[in-house]
Amino acid sequence: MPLGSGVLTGLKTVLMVGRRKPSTVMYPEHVRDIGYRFRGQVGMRRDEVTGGMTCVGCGLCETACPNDVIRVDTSENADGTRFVDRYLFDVGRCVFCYFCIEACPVDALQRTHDFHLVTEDRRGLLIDGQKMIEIYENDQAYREAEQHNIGPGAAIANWFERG
Amino acid sequence: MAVNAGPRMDLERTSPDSMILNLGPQHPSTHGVLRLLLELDGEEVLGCKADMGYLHRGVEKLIEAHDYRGGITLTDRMDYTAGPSNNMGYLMAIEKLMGITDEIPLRARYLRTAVAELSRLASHHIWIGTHGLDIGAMSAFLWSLREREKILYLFEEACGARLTTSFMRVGGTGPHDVGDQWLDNVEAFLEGYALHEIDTLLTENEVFLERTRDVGHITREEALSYGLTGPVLRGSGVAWDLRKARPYAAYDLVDFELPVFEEGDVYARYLVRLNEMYQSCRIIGQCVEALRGLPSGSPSNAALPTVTPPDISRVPVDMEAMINHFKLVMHGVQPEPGEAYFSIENPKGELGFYFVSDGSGEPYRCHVRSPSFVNLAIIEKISVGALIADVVAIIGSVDIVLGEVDR
Repeated sequence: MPLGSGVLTGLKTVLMVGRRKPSTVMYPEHVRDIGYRFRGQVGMRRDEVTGGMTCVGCGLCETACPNDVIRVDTSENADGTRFVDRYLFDVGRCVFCYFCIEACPVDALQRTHDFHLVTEDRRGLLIDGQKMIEIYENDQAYREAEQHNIGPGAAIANWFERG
Repeated sequence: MAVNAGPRMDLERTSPDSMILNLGPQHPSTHGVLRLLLELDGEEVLGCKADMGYLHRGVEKLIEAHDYRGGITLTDRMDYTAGPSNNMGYLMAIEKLMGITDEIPLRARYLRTAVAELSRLASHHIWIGTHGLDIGAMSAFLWSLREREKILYLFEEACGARLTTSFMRVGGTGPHDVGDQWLDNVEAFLEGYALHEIDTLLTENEVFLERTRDVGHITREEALSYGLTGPVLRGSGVAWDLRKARPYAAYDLVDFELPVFEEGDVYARYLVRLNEMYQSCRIIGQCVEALRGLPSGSPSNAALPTVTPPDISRVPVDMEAMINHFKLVMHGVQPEPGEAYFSIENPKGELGFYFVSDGSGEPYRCHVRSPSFVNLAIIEKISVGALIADVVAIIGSVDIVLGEVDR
């Protein structure tokens, strides 16, 4: 092969690929589809009866968490039943493994697609159960995905150009 | 002037006129926070010493401080270019420790294989991109990241995270079983996969050939005596791959070839990895086909109450299920006292996990045999006599990830 033919082959490919439309997404104007299983900030479901947290204070999430993110403080009523005083979640330590959601026996902890976790103050990352309910209820992206009940893979079905 | 390098890092000078140069830990072409002390005579390297530890996080001790489940989140932070593959090595070591390797259902084995090969592609794309970039090929880097992005998107769809995947669980794939739609996407990815574009950019490029051929030569004997594994070993003519030698997951059920090149230079290692990527595509295709062929509803987790939690919807209504679930979350899996070593073929080489169990839910001792750490040693040897520019090519060809070297 003559000298330089390898470089020219590469150049041909570059010119060919250069005619394609760019594969970059101009964030934040455009946000690409988020997969249904995307692990964002952990949310909390609102209890339909009491209007508060669904959490029963069993503390399984606290045990399952590998990073000491969650703290559940509970007290007892006069009749011996347990209730949650305080549910604290330190987003700054969270690694988004979702072991807590796998562990929750009453489905109180919920997946959300919220990844906008920026605050100006580190204390803003320490949130309580009430805030987690708000996050879960405000997370429209996940609500829509849940409504259409799309499984893994649906969001990117048209993302890969074939051929 | 003496180099202020600390007592450990004294480089024995071979010539009084030589110059000591620090390559890294900030230099971008050292792939992270690797520091190389080079003794130079002009452009020529007279001596080389590698210094690492800048990214040490004590992962082994952290794994011992967590239960077996908690360690999953730490393993994908070691070789962060191939997270799911690390998860798999860690979990298969635990499965061997518990003696449940045969209980893993076929669906989980195929899915693990497919995901491990996808992560091999992702890892090799980082390598081919940065290796090319070091030598001056910009397009290969950008295109590599474009292809890798698709793989990370597939990971996100399957398990919810791109890099820190925590993909699998002891006994199978945990909650991350995939549907037909995901398999369609993998096939679409394989169809539109543009590795051949990067191939035409580099493989026959005269500049690339000039920079890589007969550079950083490792003989077969050196490779074996340094304990090298992975593409570095296969680039020196040793046909050793754990996927063939000791098949795990579904590697005994799929058909693929082992690229081996005899030359032992940077270009041979490039060719090994490039051909490996084509073979990975073959493996993924076969796995997807096999996953489709499995009867619907086949389980992806072992049917063992000691490792797999019950269906969460049964927990509030079924006492047995609730006890099982609480036991598994509170205590985790509890292997019998004993020890086990298991290793898989990670993109970078043999990744091994050694566990000692005392019967509790936390490992008594965990040791990681990371391929990057072992392969790093050869850089000191083959850099001597090379030029500075060649050292950059050599580091790229050995393909180390500092997260795994330092752990």
